[in-house]
Amino acid sequence: MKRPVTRDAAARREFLRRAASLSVAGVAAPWALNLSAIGDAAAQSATDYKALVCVFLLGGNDNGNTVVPYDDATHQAYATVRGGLALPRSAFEAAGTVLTPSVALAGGQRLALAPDLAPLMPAFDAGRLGVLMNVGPLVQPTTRAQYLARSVPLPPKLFSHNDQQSTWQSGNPEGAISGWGGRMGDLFAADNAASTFACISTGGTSVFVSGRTTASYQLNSAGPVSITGLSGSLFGSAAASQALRTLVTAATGPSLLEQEHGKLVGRSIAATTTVAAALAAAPALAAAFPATGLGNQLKMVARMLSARGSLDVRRQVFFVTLGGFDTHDDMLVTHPALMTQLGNALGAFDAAMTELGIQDRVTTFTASDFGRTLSSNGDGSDHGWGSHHFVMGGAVRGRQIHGTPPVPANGGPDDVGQGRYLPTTSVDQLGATLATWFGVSASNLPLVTPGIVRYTVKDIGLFT
Amino acid sequence: MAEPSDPVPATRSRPAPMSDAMVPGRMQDQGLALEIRPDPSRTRIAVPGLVLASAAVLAACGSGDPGSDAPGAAPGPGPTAGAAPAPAPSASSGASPVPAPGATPAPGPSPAPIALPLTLPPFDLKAASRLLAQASFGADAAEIRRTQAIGLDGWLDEQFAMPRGQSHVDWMVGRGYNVGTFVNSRAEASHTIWRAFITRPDQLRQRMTYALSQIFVISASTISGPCPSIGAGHFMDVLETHAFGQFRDLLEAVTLSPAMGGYLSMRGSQKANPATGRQPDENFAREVMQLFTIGLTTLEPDGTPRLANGAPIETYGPADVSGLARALTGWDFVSGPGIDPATEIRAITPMQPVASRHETGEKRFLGTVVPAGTGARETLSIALDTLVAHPNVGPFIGRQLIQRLVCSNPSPDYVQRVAAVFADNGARVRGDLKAVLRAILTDPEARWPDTRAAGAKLTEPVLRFTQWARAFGVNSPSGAWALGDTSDAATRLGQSPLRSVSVFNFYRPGHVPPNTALASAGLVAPEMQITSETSVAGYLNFMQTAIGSSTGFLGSDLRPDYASLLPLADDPNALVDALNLTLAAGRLGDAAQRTIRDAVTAMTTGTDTHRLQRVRAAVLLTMACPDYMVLK
Repeated sequence: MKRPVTRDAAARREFLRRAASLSVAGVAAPWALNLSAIGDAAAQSATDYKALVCVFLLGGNDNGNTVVPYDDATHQAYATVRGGLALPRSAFEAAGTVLTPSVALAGGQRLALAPDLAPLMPAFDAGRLGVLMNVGPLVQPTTRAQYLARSVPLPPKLFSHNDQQSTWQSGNPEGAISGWGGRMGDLFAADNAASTFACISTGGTSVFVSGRTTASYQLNSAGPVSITGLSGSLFGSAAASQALRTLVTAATGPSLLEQEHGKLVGRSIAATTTVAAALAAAPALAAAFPATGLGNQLKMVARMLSARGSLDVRRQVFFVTLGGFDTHDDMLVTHPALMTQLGNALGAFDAAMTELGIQDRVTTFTASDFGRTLSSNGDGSDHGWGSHHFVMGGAVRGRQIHGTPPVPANGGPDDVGQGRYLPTTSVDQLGATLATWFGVSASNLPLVTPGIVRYTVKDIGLFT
Repeated sequence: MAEPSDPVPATRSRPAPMSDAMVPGRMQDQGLALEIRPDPSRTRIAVPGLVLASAAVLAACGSGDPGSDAPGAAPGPGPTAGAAPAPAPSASSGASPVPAPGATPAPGPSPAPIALPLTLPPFDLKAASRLLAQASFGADAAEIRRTQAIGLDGWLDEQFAMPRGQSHVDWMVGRGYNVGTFVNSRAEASHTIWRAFITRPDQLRQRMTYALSQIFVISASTISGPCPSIGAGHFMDVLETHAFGQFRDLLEAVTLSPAMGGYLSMRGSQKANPATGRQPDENFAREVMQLFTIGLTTLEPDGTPRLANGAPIETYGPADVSGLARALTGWDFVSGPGIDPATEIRAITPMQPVASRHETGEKRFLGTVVPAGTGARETLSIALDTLVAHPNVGPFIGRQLIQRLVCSNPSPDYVQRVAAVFADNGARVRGDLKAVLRAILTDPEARWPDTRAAGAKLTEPVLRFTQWARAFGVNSPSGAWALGDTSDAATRLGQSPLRSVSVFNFYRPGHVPPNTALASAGLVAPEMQITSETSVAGYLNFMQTAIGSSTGFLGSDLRPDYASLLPLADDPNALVDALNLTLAAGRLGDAAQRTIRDAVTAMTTGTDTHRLQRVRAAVLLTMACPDYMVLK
């Protein structure tokens, strides 16, 4: 990677300055020690623009009915385990979601997308969408025998929603204080003069977009919200309006809670001004987004991307969410509706990126708490582990099946109980691959996804 | 916290006010030797965990004055409770789980025991206001004075003896919300909850009900089944019925409630069918353990995680979940001749067993074996007995109740004292919630004001709103209380009772706000999970609308009555004093008081309209202060 030396130096200084300010902060001590060993190498610099968009499916998406075996033999095995939840082959044919990847799977295996994911087919067929099979959190490469014997460390608190959401996003269960999206933001801090906009969530509080030094910015999907009382007059009084500004941003209270609240309000006021102006100046988008929760969030991300020139950032990480995936019951009604929402919103976002001409600079990927059991509980599925996900963008090796399709069989080689799949690709490998595309150097990968040191394959080949 | 400063010099000799730096474990590293350091040999005097401290230190604690030496001084490099050092990753360390660098394990109850005297502080007006902020939905000046007069125990006795009012279901049925188009509606569940929180005199029961609704979580927005408003209201009635009762009874009532049955899909779960591969639904079985009783990891009696080889011990595994799921098969809404599936009867009647759907084989979970042939009701009884007997329940539930009422980071000793009462109320009864509640609210750690972040909590938006409503006599002249769902963070409160987005509540008890000094200090702050750049603006805008309303707001006819404040409008000092006591229990710092006073002074007066504007501005400015928002 060729970079001007001066930028590099500035980047190092910024990185070390922020890191130093952190290192006295108590619990960060282990990281600080680690940092001193890494020293100058860490800070990164870039001259081009790239963004990562994480679409998090809250509740644990049912992988079994998202990417489905289509060839006769495997579909039959799938249908045997799924029972009443199985989707028939004819449904994929009718929807046109049978996949024809550029590289066929071994042994005549074929896959199909959920029928309601039909809006993703144009991106797949155009080579901008890849399917990643059976990915999930691991501590290290793990075989089924090792899992059953508990002979290697496993991620703590498997199958627990909140903890596996956190583990996907950060590498640690609930209580983690930085995620791998935010840690990438840390590395590129010097390139993001407006560091408020390095890591943005439109889907609520998320550790994914929180770095060790980079704070996330929560943006409402309808746009930033300004404080009415600060607009010059509060209950008829300019003095009261001025007093409101003084009070809400006070970061000098007696305890850390008051101080942090004051800082947050200050950030809200400043960001609202900047973002509102940037969005107003950005060209309008022609791409039509569905008026759904996810559609609105991805539309806001697209608008922010169109406004990136005013925001003074070169590397951005976005986090959007879609809830409702905990389909223990009524799954055959609720899951297709969720797939519809996901497919329509992602399809619109793909079109918007092409419209903006930045399809090669923006990579979007899905994630979720966990996959679900292939076995049915009567009208739904229960908490699982490995799951199938999508990676979308012009830089992606699309129209391909990445990873290893699991074998749908009770007691099969990938089964750890009731059709829960032991992941064959780890989230660390996915994260490291995305980070490498983002521009993170090989030596810095452990700062983003620490567990990657335990894998020989650090890049799972998602990008051209 | 401002820019981290250098470590506090070891030469400081006089006691300073408690600050975030003054967690005992840290002071040791900074060479400080204050009297509030715990001395294990002196700690167990009458109440476990209490430490004698000098009156001077405690007097300083309550002053709210951050002191001048090193407010929020940077903690030293020494050990910080709850933040186990995480070694750097190394390719050769693959044999054990290695935390990421800088990743922090969920800080448990991290603060070390703080020093507190055995006697409680004087119960003055500020103390009464503070108690009412912890244990009620707010109070007006008269109620604060009355509470101060009858004292802490007097108020608790009065509240425990207070009769229940009309149930949510009866109120809704009385208004016809069980028929016609209302059978598919959900807004009325919120109306009745706002009504109860704002108007009911049995405030402690209401507040406990709200706390329980944040542990035993359902959502009026998403429950399935007939008459969702009625079902949600019934669920609140169930919590209210047992708010001062026995934990075991509460757990059974929640388990069999139609709302929970639909929400966590125990309703309709059937025994396995080997022919089709169908398995029992694991949803409720998992969450009743993880969230409602024992939690994920084995706890010490003080709520801290028990460690084995440095790692937490998980309380259950997949086999326990599937075993308990088998045990909880065979339950459904009531049915039978004369029961119309569309009416509210099914929404207000406990679920019933359907013998043919219950797994009759042997069931094993958490070391309990339910013999083959045991019926659904008896199996349920064994299962719930097993859960309630687990030693985790007291510290697990006790700590969360403390977090809902008093502070976010209770000391382990405080948790242990409450858990001990959960284990035995003094009459060998386990799970007596009235005794637990009394223990929480009368504990010295609850009663002594504590300006450290550990001793504080961010007041959640719902409670700020109800506090305003109760302080200023908010009423709904039509009686409809039609405020509805206030969940939208951009335009309302970002929170609405009984409407969290998942069974994991609005926020997690272990939420650490990333990228804050709180995270660096190893502190949790659950309410910060719903506090964002959007919500802080939404809250202020919502309150400005509410405070400024004279005939109602946002579709409701709710309106305040500022009669008690209008006479003070021309006396900004008195106005600020009144608001500081009523809303902030005296927490407003000098700077905030001055800012509000100066702003009001600058406002025109002379007419009643002017005076009303002065009052409105002063109320909003008070409720905008971080000093107000943080209860401590």
